[in-house]
Amino acid sequence: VSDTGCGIPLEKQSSIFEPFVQADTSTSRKYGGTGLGLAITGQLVELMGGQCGVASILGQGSTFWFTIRVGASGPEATPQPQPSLAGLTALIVDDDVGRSAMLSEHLSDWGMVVAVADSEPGALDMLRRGAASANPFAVALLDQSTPGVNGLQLASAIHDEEALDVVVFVMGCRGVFSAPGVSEFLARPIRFGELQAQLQAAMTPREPRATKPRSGRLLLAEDNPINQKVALAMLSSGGYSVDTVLDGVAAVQAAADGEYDAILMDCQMPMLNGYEAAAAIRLHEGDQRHTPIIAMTAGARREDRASCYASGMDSYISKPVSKQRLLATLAAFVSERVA
Amino acid sequence: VIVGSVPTLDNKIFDELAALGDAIGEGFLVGLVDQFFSETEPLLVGLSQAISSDDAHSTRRLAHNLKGSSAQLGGLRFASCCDRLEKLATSGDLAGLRVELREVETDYRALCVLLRQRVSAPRPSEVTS
Repeated sequence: VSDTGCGIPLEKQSSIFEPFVQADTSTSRKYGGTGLGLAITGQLVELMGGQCGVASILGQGSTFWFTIRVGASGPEATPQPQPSLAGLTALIVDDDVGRSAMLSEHLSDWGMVVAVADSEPGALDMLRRGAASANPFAVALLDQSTPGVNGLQLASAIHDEEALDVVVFVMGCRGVFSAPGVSEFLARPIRFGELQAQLQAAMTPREPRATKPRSGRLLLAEDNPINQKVALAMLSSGGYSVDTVLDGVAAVQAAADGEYDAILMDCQMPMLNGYEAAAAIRLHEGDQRHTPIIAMTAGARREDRASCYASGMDSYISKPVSKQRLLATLAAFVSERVA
Repeated sequence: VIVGSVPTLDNKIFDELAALGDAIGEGFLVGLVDQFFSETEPLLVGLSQAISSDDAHSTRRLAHNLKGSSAQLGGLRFASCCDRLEKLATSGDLAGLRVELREVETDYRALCVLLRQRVSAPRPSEVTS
């Protein structure tokens, strides 16, 4: 870590790794700090068998360094679908899309259907809509630790709404061990093995609902004719009526013209890609509407997922698309209607 | 991400399409496979031209397109080769592209053989009954 600050005189460089020592005590009032950070760093590095130190020139700045030896990580574990969790729908409420992407990756690997919301009103809206759908949300994972979302407040609002039958986990909470409507508190960083066990314990396995023919009007934005044809066949066999468009510009136009129950969006399309199109649709909708947008992408990277959420999309299915996955995801977003 | 040995044709994916075909109506599967052949061949010609003229942008676009359609039919080996081409084109590794191009053509021919077999062969259910 390098800075361009005031630098540290040579004679003080060895003592700044001692607890409660700062090089210039006159600045601690202005800049704060207890003088513990470097002491803790030094001890951690030592425990890990490494070294740390500082190189500094007065008036020019300082560079702090450390060394540790770590083994190369093994190949990434392959996804292990969990029969007791497969098909269950989870809502992640967090305003940090990177964290949402990481969590949703694990939940999807276990076979769960995942939606993401970044605000409390958006989350409640999605849960209410889900409650009226064929695949209501089984669990909501709420963040507590960021300014955008107050997990405890939201948990209590969910608890107060009788129509919502959702198991609630709150993430990143410190010093709170029970709160109305909260089944489980998860410390950050989240340990995914533990989370999986906690989900299995909290959830009653549901019989997968029969994929009876449904009604609903969808927009499918997909430029690849083969993929479009297959998706269209899957959706029609699920009972949906579908409009198709071949690029992002047409998707934005169609979304503005028609009222769709959900939009399926390929991410890499000509003219305007899926992320840009989703962002444009959200901009156009404002606070008036929130059409569920589900990304379909071959990108398996976490960043792809994060980009989807950042652009305002609600959920994500990876390609090649499976019919079961596609219909289960849609079922969480499209309200039941009496045909 | 596809790791380890990648099947030329993933039977699970293709079986699902066959089942979908049963639900949609006769001709869906055969039509889909025919459409795949007729669309892929000109794209492969375009891909080869794009690579030989060092056109990384077109290479990336064509490889992405081929990856999407082949994976949806279960042609995972061909799709993963297209995925490598897409990544090489994105990073501008033109020498790497020429090496992969030969492989992509081999993988495509192998996929064609299996797809033709699957659409012309009787269904397992018809054999047992």
